Order: sequence, then C-alpha cells, then structure tokens
Amino acid sequence: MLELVTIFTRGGVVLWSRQSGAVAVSPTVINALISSAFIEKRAVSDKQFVHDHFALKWAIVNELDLVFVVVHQKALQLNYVDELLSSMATSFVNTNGDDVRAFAAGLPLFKPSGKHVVDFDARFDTIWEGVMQRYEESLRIPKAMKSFEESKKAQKSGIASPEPKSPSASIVTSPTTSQPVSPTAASSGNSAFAPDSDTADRLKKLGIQSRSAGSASKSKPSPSASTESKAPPKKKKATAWDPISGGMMTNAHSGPLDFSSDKPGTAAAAAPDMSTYTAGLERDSLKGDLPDIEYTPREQDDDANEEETADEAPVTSPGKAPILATPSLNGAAAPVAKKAGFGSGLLSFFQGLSGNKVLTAEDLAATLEKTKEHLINKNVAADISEKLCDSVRTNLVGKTMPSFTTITSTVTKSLEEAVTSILSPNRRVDILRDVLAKRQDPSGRPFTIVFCGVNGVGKSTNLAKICYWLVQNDISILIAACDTFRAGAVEQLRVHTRCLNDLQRSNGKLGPNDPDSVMLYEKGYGKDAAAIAFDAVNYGRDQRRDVVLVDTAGRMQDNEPLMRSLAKLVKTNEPDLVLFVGEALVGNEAVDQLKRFNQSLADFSESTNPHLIDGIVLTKFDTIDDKVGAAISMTYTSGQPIVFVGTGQTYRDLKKLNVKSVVQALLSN
Amino acid sequence: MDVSLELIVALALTVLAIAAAAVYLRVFRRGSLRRSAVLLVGIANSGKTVLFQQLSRGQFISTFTSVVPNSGTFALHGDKSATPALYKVVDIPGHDRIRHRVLDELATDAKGVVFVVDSANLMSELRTMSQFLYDVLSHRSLAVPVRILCNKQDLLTAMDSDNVKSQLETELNIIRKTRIAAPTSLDETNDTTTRELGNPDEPFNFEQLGSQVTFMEASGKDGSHLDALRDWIAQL
Ligand SMILES: Nc1nc2c(ncn2[C@@H]2O[C@H](COP(=O)(O)OP(=O)(O)OP(=O)(O)O)[C@@H](O)[C@H]2O)c(=O)[nH]1
Ligand SMILES: [Mg+2]
Repeated sequence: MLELVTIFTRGGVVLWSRQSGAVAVSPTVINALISSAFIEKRAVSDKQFVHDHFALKWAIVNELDLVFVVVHQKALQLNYVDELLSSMATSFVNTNGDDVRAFAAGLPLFKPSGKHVVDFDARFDTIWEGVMQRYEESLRIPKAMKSFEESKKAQKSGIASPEPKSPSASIVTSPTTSQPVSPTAASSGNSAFAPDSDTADRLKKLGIQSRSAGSASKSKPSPSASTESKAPPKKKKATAWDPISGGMMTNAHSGPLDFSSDKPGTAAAAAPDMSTYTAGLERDSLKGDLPDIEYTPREQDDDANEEETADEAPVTSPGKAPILATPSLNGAAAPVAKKAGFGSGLLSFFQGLSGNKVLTAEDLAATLEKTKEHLINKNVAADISEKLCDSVRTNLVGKTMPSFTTITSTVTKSLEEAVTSILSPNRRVDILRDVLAKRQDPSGRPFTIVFCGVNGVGKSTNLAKICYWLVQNDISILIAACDTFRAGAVEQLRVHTRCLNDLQRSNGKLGPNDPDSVMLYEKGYGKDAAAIAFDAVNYGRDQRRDVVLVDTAGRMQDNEPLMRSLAKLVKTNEPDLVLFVGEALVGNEAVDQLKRFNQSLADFSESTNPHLIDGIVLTKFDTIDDKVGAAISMTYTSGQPIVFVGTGQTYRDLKKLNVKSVVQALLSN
Repeated sequence: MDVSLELIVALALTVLAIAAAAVYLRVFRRGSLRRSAVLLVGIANSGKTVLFQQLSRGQFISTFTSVVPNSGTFALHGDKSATPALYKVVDIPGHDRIRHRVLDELATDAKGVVFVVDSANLMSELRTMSQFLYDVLSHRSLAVPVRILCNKQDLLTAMDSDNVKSQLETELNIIRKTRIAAPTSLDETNDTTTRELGNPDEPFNFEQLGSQVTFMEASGKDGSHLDALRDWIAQL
C-alpha cells in the first residue's frame, strides 16, 4: 500500500502531498532520504531508499528543482511506482511549471487554507487510475502461460512504459526505470507481479480513499493471487555508512594469528630516536598554537596545463574558442559537437551566452569523463570518482545553464558543491569540548578514544601528537598500550610518555612533585587487548585521568581474527570515539579498508546498534602534494569527518582539515 | 569605400562595447558595495523555511529538510505602507554539511542575519547551535546586526528568550576557549572565522558585542510576533 505521495522543492517546501496510510508518515522519513540521497550523494544500492519499515522511491526534475516521492511499506514490491512517479512528474511540470517558477521566485502564490500550495488532487487521481488499470491488465495475463519472453512483453506494453510524453521534462528517477521485473524474480516464482493476494484491492482503497469509488468495482481477483508471495526475508539492517555495495566480507586471509606478517617492527624502529619527534620544538615555546603549514597548490604549473589542455573556451574570452569542425551553425553542429566534446560546440556556446541551454546527459558525458579522470589522477578511489560524477550528472540533467557559463564551469561548480558537502562534517566536531563535558560526568569515567587502522599508517605517532595537543590544554592522559602484537609497540609508547612529561616539566607546567601529565598503562605482549583496555579505563578513572587514548595493533582489513578482536575491544569498552587512522597516500585501498573496518565492527559486535568508526585521522598529508583524493574517498566511504590531519614527524605536526583548501587542491589542474 | 565602412562599423561596435562595459561595471560595483540580503540562518529544523514562507506569503506551509536556499526579493507580508519596500531574503539550509558553504558564499552580501533557534529543543541542540552561532558571530565577512529569533514559542516546552540567551552565553564562553585551543587548520588563509569573540578576560556575554546581537521570540507556525521581525528587517 502507498503510505505517502509528496511533491516538494529542493528548498524544502511541500507543494502537494497525499497521506494514505492509516498512520501519518513522519517527516523524518523524508528528511532521511533527503539527507542521504541529495545531500550526502549516496547512491542507494538496491535502487530504493529504506528507512524504518518504509521504502521510498523518487523522481527529480532539475528543471524546476522539484522532488517527487512515493513512500510504501518496504515489505511490498510495487512495480508501478516508477510509472506513477514519471507520470506525475510529467503532468506536474506541464501544468504547474509556471506556478512553481513563480513560487520559487518568492512571488505570492497563496494556497487556500487547508489546501496544498499546488492543486494536484484531481490530476493525481486520474494518473493513479490509469496506472492501476494498466497494472491490473498485467495481472490478468495468466501466470502459468507467462513465459519469460511474454512477461517481458507485458512489461513493455503495460506497466513498464514510463516514457515521459513531454520532451520538456527531464525526469531522473531513482531506480533505472522501465525494468520493474527482473528475470530472476519472474522465473523463481516470486514474481514481482504477484504481491500478496489482496494488495491490488487494498491499493485501490488506500491509494485514493475518497475519489476512487467508481473504479473500485473494477478490481478483479487477480489470477496470481494464489501465489502469495511472502515479504522478502528480513534483511540485516542496512548499514548507512556503506554507500557502495553490500560489501560482503571475504575472508581471504583467516589463518592463525600471525605475528610475523605485520610490518617489520623491529625494536630499533619501535624505540625511535626522540629527536625525530621533538625536532623544531624549542623547549621554551611549547604552549602556543601550532604553526600553520604552507599549502600551495602549484599554481604556475596549473596555468600552463590549462592552456595546453583547454578544449573548451571560457565564454568570456571567445577568442580562445576552438573552431568547430563544421562551419555550419545550425543543427549540423550538434552531432559534431557531441563527438568533439559537445561543450566546444558553437551552438551550446551561444546557448550558454544567452542562458537558455538545457543540459542533457549527452552534453555532460565528455566533460564528466574528463572529470572522472581528473579525480582519479588526484588519487580519489576509482569507484568514488565514478559516483561523484554520477551525482553531478543527476544534479545537472534538465537544468538550464546559467548565462555566461560553460559546461565545464557548470560541472566544476556542481562538483565543488558535492565535494564540499562530503568533506564537511555531518556533526559538530570539538573533541576538547566533549572532554570538558565528560569531566562533569558523575561516573568519573574518562573520555576514551580508540585508534585503529592498518599497519604502518602512523597510529602511535599520531596518538602521541594528539596526546601532546591535549596535554598542552591541561588535559591529563592515560595511554593504554593495547598493541600487544608488534614487537616494540609498548616501548615506543613508553618513550613518548617520558618525552611528553619531560616537555611538560621543562615547560614549567608540571612541578617536580606533580603527577605526570601522561601515564602509560601496559601489560606487555600477547594478552587480550580488550581486557587490557578495560582495565586501563578503570585505572584511568581511579587516577582521575581526563582522557584514555587506546593504541591498538595495526591489522589488515581482511584478517578476520584480528578484526574480531577489534570489534570486541570496541564493544567491551564503549569508547567515546573510535578513530580510524589512515594515510593520505592510499588510493583505491581506502574504500576497502574503511568499508571492512566498519563491516567488521558491525558484524562481529553482535549488537543491533554497533559502534562504528566516528572519525578519521588522515596521516602523512605532507607527502601528497595536491593529490588529496584519499580525503574524499575516506569521508565519502565512512560518512564521517576527518578530525585531525598529520603533517609530519614532530608533535606539532597536527592540523585540522580546512575543507576549502582541500577542495581547491582537488579541483586544481 | 568598403574598408572605411567596415572601419566605421568596427568603431561603432567598439564604442558600444565600452559603453556596455561601463554600465555593467557600475551596476556590478554598486551591487558589490551595498550589502542587500537578510539571511535566515540556524541549524537544521529550527524553522527557517517556515519563517521564509511567513515573511513572503504570511502563511504556514509544511516543509522538509532544505537542500538549496530559498531566496526572493519581495515586500514583507503584512507591510501596510502605500508603497512597500522590497527586501531580499535568503533562507540558508541548516544541514551540517551545507550551511557553512552557503553562508560563506552569501556572507559578503548580507546586511543582517536572523539566527533562528528552536526554543523547544534548546538543550539537546545547544552545543551544535552554539558552535554555529560562534561561526556566524566571528565570521570575517559578517560584521552585521544579528537577531536571534527564539522560534517555536507556540510550543509549551519552548524556552523564553532570556533563558535562551543565558544558555547560549554559557556555552559560547566554553567554546571560546576550546576554539582557541583547537589545532590550527591546514591553510589559515581559507579560514572564515578569525575575529575573537567578546572580551576574553571576562565570562562571555552578548553585551560585550555592543548592540550587534538582539533577541526576540516568535512562532513560524502561528505567525505570532512576526511584526517585530518585519520592523527589525525594515530598519537594517
Ligand atoms: N511548533 C512549531 N513548529 C515549527 C515552527 N516553525 C517550524 N516548525 C516545524 O519545524 C520543522 C522544521 O521547520 P523548517 O522551517 O523546515 O526548518 P528549517 O530551519 O528550514 O530546517 P532545514 O531546512 O533543515 O535547515 C517543520 O516540521 C516545521 O513545521 C514553529 O514556530 N512552531
Ligand atoms: Mg529549510
């Protein structure tokens, strides 16, 4: 049954809606869709968005910045929703387009009180009846006779003909339209045409409660009613952080615990010369703020590149416009332009000038292809580059190009917005504030941060930097040495601890008899990390420490035993933050690492509400020049913010991300 | 003959182009010098879009999360003057991932900011909204009057403006310290918030900002007290 059909602007204003379920659908359901699909730019894997027990399908019309949404119970498989959406969109755009434009411009369009902004009731009823009629016709085809070929035909003629009749409306529906029934579904007897027996009837009644009296008699018992298809088996609650796919774990490497497979962790490397860390730290100037690092996307090179590769002239300097292969200005220009990279076409050039060019997918194809390559060159993971370009396309198809813009500049603007949203935190990030709040906590439990990640990314080093930063701000620390694997890991932390305390003393912040700013809790090697962390937190509480920093062993994401142990550590200790430490050098691997860490935390915690990764520490940022792609890959994959950026070997090389700079570096040539 | 004609045409075109450029530049310059927009800002779900509709149409309209700004230039609804003045109003989406970008884009055009607060949900959102208020008040390009609108006063659980004010002051006082202590950012030239807030030697209060910040109560739902908002906008 349909619960809710609604039409709203991207500005968030509801223009029309019809509630048909018994219980009102909370706005939070629609808001969740908006947040996930339109703001976080997450493609939804099974082509619909599921929230609570609802499934949502949608269509967007960029031309008018409109969104059409249908909400139904997720247990139902309704094959006519796509058709309904595109018929609604077509009708709405054709009839109410001008109203919507006027409304968007802030012109008065008063809704009669108690009614909707746009009167769409009657037309919706007509559309609904048409859709239902075709749906019923499709049900009349006897099931037994319906070979695969025939059922395909049925789709073509009947249900699956969402072809919008209006050429003016570019409608982008959520799923790939016009393929409502998959061959497998049809042949496996779980035909999508066979919803539970009386669904058709109920739909009639519930879809339109008042106005369908006349059509109610038309409903006939469907021949397929006997094949009562049950609701699909309850799927595991979809984890919101995995935008890309189901991401099943393959345990390629699940041998016995293998100490030696870790990165060479010799004692020498483990107890480094502390001068590496303290380099550049004058002992008398430690309290101040961390210095700014120079961040210069190489601009000179960029200009040079631009001139060589520019294939599309900015409209403001027409002199640069590449001459079109054909001198003709009329229709012939279009196909040629398409081949040459569309944007270079004189036609679109002039359309761009006058600001009446409506963008099509073909217009965008070549630029997006180039954009994708550009992103990959910037070290963005390949499938994320692809998804970003998809989201730009979805955003722009049907839009009228603003005056004095080129396709390239329009695409760049849209990409810039998308990337800025992805990098911008989805919540408040102020660890110091949260630590201060935790001080008031009557339990006396310290604020606990777990650091995890693969081998060799700089977990301990950056833990020490964060420790230094906290200590500078008068926060007392306990470091829990829970890397019980790698030889030298504990010693490395001991050196850091001593060094940080020495700095505090020489700094005058600690008197000779004051307790250390940083304490270390360690139980040697080979023991259960989760238990050590647990004891450490208790010890930290007894010692009235503000913060416990938990160092864990580096682990490859496909090492199941180790991933299990991490999940156990997180589950038993309920830390305030789980930070994933990853290096900025990583390319395609970034996605797999984060997905699997999250998947493991979810699967092995045996909890319905597992604690996943809350934030990212991006290390070795000083080594990547302007290839900032990993920042995008990691934030997109996890949906979580980059909390700290590591930019070198000294304690001071800890920064916070500046979204604008990263976006600039990403877009620079 | 032909040549001179072409020359004349070319000359005429050049003159025309220069004249057009001059007009364009004038308009452009003037536009960029005079701040024109009233911005409705605040965290998600505070009621900005509903207020925008009230200001333009005088009606309550249901809403979902905004993805793009709503903007328009219109006479404020309820303005009784014979020739009502037109105002440019922009409702900035409050979603965490969007609000900073859009605010940065529009800040240089702002002549006043209405910071909308959900007074019925104050305590659970206090830290988030205070962080954003801090960003607004310390924004490089936003040294303009700020009206903190304590919205949703139609609800029984709504806090009055005095209470909202003192809660915000307490939280801003803490944030002021943690902000200074935060790691520096990768590229400070790109930081939008630089000015320090108030007098660092005393606990923070809004009076330290002179008369920049003022408070009011209202409800976007039943439209009450919105005349006070109209008056404030009109005197900007
Ligand atoms: N009771 C009550 N509810 C309100 C009031 N103003 C807004 N709301 C409701 O609060 C919710 C959010 O209102 P919006 O105007 O969409 O909020 P917003 O600030 O635009 O939110 P974003 O677009 O996410 O930034 C809606 O459900 C409104 O109906 C009010 O004054 N009183
Ligand atoms: Mg809004």
